[in-house]
Amino acid sequence: MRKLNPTLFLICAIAVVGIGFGVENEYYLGVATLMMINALNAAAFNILLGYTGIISMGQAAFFGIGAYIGAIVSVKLGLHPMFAVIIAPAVAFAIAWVVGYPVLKLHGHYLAMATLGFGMIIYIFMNEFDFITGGPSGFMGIGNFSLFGLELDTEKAFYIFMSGFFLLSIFLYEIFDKSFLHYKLKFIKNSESACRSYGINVIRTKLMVFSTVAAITALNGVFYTYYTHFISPVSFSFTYSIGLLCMAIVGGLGYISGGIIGAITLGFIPEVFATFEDFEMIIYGGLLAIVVMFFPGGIAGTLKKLVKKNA
Amino acid sequence: MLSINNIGVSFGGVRALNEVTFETPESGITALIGPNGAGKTTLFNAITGFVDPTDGNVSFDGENITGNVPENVFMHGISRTFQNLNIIPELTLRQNMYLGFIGKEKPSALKTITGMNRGYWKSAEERIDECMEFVNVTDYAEMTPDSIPYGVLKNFELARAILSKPKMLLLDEPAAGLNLTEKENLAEMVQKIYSKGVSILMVEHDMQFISSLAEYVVCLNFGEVIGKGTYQEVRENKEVLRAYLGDDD
Repeated sequence: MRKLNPTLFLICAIAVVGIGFGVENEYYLGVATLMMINALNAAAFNILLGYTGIISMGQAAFFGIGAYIGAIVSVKLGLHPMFAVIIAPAVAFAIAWVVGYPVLKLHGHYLAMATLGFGMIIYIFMNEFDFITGGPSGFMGIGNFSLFGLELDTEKAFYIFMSGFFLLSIFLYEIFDKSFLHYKLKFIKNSESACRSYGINVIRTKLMVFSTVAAITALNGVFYTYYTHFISPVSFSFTYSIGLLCMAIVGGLGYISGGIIGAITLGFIPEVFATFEDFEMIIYGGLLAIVVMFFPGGIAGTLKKLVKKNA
Repeated sequence: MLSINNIGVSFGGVRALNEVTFETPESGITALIGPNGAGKTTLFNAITGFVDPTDGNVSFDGENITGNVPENVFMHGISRTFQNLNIIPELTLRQNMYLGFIGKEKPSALKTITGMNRGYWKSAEERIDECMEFVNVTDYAEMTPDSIPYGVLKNFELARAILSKPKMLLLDEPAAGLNLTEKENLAEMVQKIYSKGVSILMVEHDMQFISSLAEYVVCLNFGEVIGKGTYQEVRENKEVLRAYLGDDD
């Protein structure tokens, strides 16, 4: 198999360490923390769409499931956050398996619509089942995340924890990218029939990928909950799923770095265009159109082409 | 080796195959011919599990494989290629070869990630080298398909199809789109694979290509077998001539 390429890991490590040491402003640390959560979700989404060709418009639901389990564990059950870290991915994995079994037999627009429907069901559930979810008002008073007895009660502490998890995840993504799993998923994306005729169980593999990505997204949802200390259904609406799609496409489909680059690029938009808050989706859409028309490989794909050309 | 017994396939009201029966020799190259829409690819799909036959059965090496999913048919030792190339543009030929290996040998994801099954990948690399060498595509191994001639890519598909050491190879229009030299080269490769004991069943339109290879020919028209036998016998079969050339009047 291919050798590991440490470039992405090193760039990310330098960036997060640099921010950790150089930035004291809590707001900016918060922006960086949320960017890391989104980057991990977008990179996972990229494995679904960019590698395997599964277009899921319901990723916000899994993010929400993780977040709400985190909130329930903290507020209603008063348990240690590590319970949420274990339960949320397991529940999301199981739900994704059950939902994915019929849904992943669909392709293209039909699959997008089916997953969108799933996302809407979960969104309605979050709003209507207020005795579990707190309804539209959501959950308040979510405690701090703690690890080995160490409570992450400041922005800086959570940032350091999230940085460690972010770098570990990037390392694991890189191992995945250079392993045979990368090829297997791209073969499935290219031709399911050819894969089946070569003995690959396509449905099982797609289910495994869909469920694993759901589990990763739910785990990030748990961290999001303990970071923001407040959640409501608005954060897990269809807009978030579209956001992930934009991040993956703008960053570059089929590249692990694509999700990360996309999350950072789109993460800056609300900061730079803070005064145009209501027009955020228009800016997203415009950027998406430009990338699709002029840079089909996204930022990562274009950079790779340039490097190859100059090599 | 491969026995097709009264196979019928219907798509709604359309009868694509009707009582198709023939048997391929224990070891040999069999060609499946017929005009467009005769049902050749549908028969391939019925054999390899992509389409469920409405009637009849398919047996391979004495075992009934009717209704098996494609993954299981492959495990029985039947490998196939498709009319279109299934090659990922951004991967090199060597990387594209893995498709032919991982489905049969099923590597462990955990062991691969932790570096515990280096032996597995070493044997995979050796087998890949061996197969690429066998069909003369080694020089292109590290190149991506966009810079490789079409004829070489067709040979590459053969290399990938024999990676799993199949007993039988099903080739769907292997010579389509090739020039004369490339066809001759491909015929040589098919012959070479057959000489290693792999039976071959191929759908093909090019009669010259078929005459140079096939010992046994089956002709389909409108989903039914209208002639079978040696190339010469089928060539002289009046019904086959009528299907291809039409009636005199």
